[in-house]
Amino acid sequence: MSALLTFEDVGLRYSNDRRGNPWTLKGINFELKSGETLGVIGRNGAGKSSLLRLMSGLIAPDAGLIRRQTDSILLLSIQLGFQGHLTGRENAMISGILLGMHRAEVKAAMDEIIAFAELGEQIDDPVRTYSAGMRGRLGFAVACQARPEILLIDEALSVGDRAFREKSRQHLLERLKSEQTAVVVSHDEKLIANECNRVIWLADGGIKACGDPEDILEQYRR
Amino acid sequence: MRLRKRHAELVYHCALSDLKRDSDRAYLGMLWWVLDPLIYLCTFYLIFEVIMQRGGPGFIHFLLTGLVFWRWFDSSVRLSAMSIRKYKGIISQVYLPKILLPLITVTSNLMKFSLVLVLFALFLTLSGYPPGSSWLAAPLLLLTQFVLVVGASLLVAAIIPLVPDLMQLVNYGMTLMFFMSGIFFDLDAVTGPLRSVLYLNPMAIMLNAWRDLLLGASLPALADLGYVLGLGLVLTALGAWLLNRFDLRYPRLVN
Repeated sequence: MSALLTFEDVGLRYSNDRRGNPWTLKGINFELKSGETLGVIGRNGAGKSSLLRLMSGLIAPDAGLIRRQTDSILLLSIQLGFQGHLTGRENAMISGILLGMHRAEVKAAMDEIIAFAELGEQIDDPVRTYSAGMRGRLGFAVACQARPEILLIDEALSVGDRAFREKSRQHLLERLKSEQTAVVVSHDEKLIANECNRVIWLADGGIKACGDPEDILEQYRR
Repeated sequence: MRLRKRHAELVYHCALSDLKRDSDRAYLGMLWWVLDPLIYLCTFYLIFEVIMQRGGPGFIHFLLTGLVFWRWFDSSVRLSAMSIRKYKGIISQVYLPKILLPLITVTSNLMKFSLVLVLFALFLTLSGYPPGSSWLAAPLLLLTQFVLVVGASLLVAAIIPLVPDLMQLVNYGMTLMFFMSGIFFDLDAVTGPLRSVLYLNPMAIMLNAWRDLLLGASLPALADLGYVLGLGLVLTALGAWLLNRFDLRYPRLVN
């Protein structure tokens, strides 16, 4: 298995916060291999989200080097770029392109998106008339269509009612079980234990431990 | 920064979305795109023709030509200055080459301006300035001004997030340029060395060229257009370089 993504002594600092220690992340080294699912755990403020933002190429590190074998890396976000004055269909188009698809691909997937989001004819109403649940369902349905080489997931994306949450959770789990290379940040220990091949434990801006999910989770719980 | 086909698709769809929001936001909707220059026209006509009695024959056409082409430049540049901030939610979640953001603004303004331009051509035709052979040079002028609009828009879009204080300077600068571009007076009436200084302003050259072409049926001096085009290309290169240089810096600056 080849490394799709390599972090070499990567550091990130936000100069205007954290008196004393300005480094949000420091001395981060790891490889993400093709096809694996990597879990990231750690307390709030440990730098998990910053790590994902660095991986996705949204921001550049202040120290070290990040090597990428692909530029098809997506930090999954739902309702990306949604605007109230546009219809569900128009928003799905813009959101889909933002998530890395071509217009033709979004068009081809539109029926599937509408069905998954359970919107029916309301897809052509302005999104400002939607309930929060409808918006979330449409956002998730579009995000499901994205096919990046590396999928980055920050926390459980739970939207809609109980039935839809179960449906979206099942969909994500299937993606993780497939050949999809993925990084999952989550507080859900069961999810990490069941779905991840390896786990990184972040603490105080550094990697405290990295390895088998069961071992790391056991240390983490202590 | 790698540009792809889907980026062009994104610019197109986001520009359409901008237009749609414009037309949704007010009861008169798209009509405002036309009303806006007309209201300016009435204001200046009232001041210069009616009150100060300095307009002279053909003043309405002189004024309207200046306003139509000035508004294209002005609204593109002013809105582009805010373009990266406008999409801060998106660029904090997904990577986009930042150069796309001012290009969305430029594109939606181009679409609006096209509509205004068609109506303006219709107005000229019906009011005694029918299309002549000189109009064949119009695409050249359009292209020249477009390059200038792109250049100025990219540059302010790149700089404002880096130094937000400059926004005020851009506002003052645009107002100053408005008064110095000869929109409601003829720059050729200015004598002495000041005149050549005023004509360093690319918009002064453009407005002059448009009036010569549309109202005087004469062709613009190629050297003048070459100067504007050259300046536009330099600004474009500089703006694009800055946007690329700080591509990954902007999400942290505006959020």
